[in-house]
Amino acid sequence: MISASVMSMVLFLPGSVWAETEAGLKAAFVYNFTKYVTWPAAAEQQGGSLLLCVVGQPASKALLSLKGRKVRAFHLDVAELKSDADLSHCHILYVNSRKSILDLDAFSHRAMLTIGFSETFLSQGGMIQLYQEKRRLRFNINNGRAKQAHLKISAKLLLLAGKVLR
Amino acid sequence: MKLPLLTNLSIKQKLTLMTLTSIIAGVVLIGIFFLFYERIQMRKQLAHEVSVVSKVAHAQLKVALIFDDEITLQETANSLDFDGTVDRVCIYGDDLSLKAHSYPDSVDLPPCFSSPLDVDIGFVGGKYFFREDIYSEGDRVGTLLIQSNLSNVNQQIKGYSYIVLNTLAIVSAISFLVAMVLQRAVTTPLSNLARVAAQVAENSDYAVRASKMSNDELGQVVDAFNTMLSTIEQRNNELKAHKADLETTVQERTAELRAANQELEAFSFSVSHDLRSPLRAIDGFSQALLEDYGEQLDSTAQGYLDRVRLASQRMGILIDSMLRLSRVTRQEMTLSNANLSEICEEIVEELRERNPNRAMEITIQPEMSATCDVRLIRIALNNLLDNAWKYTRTKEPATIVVSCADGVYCVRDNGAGFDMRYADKLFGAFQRLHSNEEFEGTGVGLATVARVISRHNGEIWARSKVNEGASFFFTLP
Repeated sequence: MISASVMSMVLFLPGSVWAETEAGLKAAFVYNFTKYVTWPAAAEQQGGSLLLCVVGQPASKALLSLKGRKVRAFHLDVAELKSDADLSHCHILYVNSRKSILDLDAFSHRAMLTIGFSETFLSQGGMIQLYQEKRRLRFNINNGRAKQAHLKISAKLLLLAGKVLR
Repeated sequence: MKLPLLTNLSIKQKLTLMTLTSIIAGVVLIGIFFLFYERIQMRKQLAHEVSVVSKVAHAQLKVALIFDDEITLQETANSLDFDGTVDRVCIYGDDLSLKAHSYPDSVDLPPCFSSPLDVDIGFVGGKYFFREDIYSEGDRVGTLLIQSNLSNVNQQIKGYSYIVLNTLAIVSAISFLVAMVLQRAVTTPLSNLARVAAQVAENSDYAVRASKMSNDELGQVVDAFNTMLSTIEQRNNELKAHKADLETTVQERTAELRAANQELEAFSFSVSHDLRSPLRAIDGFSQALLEDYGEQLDSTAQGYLDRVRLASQRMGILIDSMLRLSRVTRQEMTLSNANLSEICEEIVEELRERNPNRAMEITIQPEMSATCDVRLIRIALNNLLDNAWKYTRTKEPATIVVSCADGVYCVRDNGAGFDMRYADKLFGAFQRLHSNEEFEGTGVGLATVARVISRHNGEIWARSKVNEGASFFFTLP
């Protein structure tokens, strides 16, 4: 609901406000991605919650407010971590930085959805890259990486992606 | 209940009309039912198709709405058009603002409502509106609105209508032919019966019979009709036989009667005629006896002789009356236009000359005329006036009125009159209501009058009270 209302505001808000709403949009997208990504059975049953780990810049309020939101059978949990922390429990890794601050190849076989917005995010092994186009937030997907990590990204999501890498 | 339109139609037309009306009514009713059913079914079908389409698009719409993907929304909206049935697909966001609509460049299509809640859902004004909210994880993320036209539905209904109309035409034509054939089973025996009945009525020919064609009620009617004809024919023959019998009898009797009458008349004529000479002899020789030997006879003998003479003279008068009556009966009639007033005046003149001493008030209506035999009518009027003159002898003054009103002639006096109880004897020959001492007479006068009037085919009757005069009425057609 929050995400949707935030999205609709985009159409009417002047440019200066864009920076503030951008964080909200990104948070909404992160939440919505979880609806169209399926984790391996072992991961999905674990504790009935999905852990969203945020690294890089401090998490926005909108991102933090995703804590407790329901996705299918479980809730979201949000944790802010240092980039060198142990990420082994994370189901979703949100890299909140314009630069590449992590070696994503290290997690290539882990069932962890990686989302980021640096320009080289996909080429460095990320799965979903957010980018801005004509005041709209859009995304590219590296489906090959996701498959490697045993994550299933819904075809519906793939259809909406600007670019899909196999 | 009376339907004036139906009364003048023949049975044949009525039957055909009835059959056709029932069949057409049936087909029309079935057609209407069929069309309504089809309409309902097709609308259901349309609603179902639209809902299926929306279901198919639902998942794609949801994700496109979530990720605010206008292009996908647009493509999805365009893809929902099927068969040209969908006019426009409108997709609204979670805040009910219009996000996308199908074929945004087309101006022919109806515009999207600014809010999906402004729309009445269902079949409204020849359109079908379908609305569905799209939820994701319990949150409404958007609304889909599909506006469909009913042109396909209407087209099909039109097609069905043509089928119904064609069926109606074909069924009507076939049933008309069938009715024409079937109604003969009823109308042929009926018209046959009607023809025979008309024949019977026109020619009074009871020998004809209607032919029986079926064993139904019509057959029973034919049987009953034939039985009736047989009965009538039988009765008719009996009647004819009776009539012939009667006519023969009447002719025989008439002939007998005529012969007897002629005989009687001849007899009375000859008797009267032949009686006169011996009577004259009696009277003459009695007179001669009185004249020649009167001195030798005593007064008693002379009285006897006087009585013989009186009696013979009276008998002469009687015979003359009988002869007159006989003449009246036998005389040939020559009809001419006679002035009855003049005749009456002449008779009264004669009476006055004969009896100059009597004071009489006689009124005769002028210009009475009639077509009759003048001689006979003179005899009749003479008798009537003579009677009036005679029976008013005791009255002072005596009045006689002759008048005519509405073809009825009347001779009225204020004389002795008579008792109405004996009125039926009045016009019989030799029937008298008064003694000869009271009023002299022969009893032939009124019989003569009656004979004259009856020879003119007229009628005669009388009204009277004792001592208050008498009125004699007669007609001369």
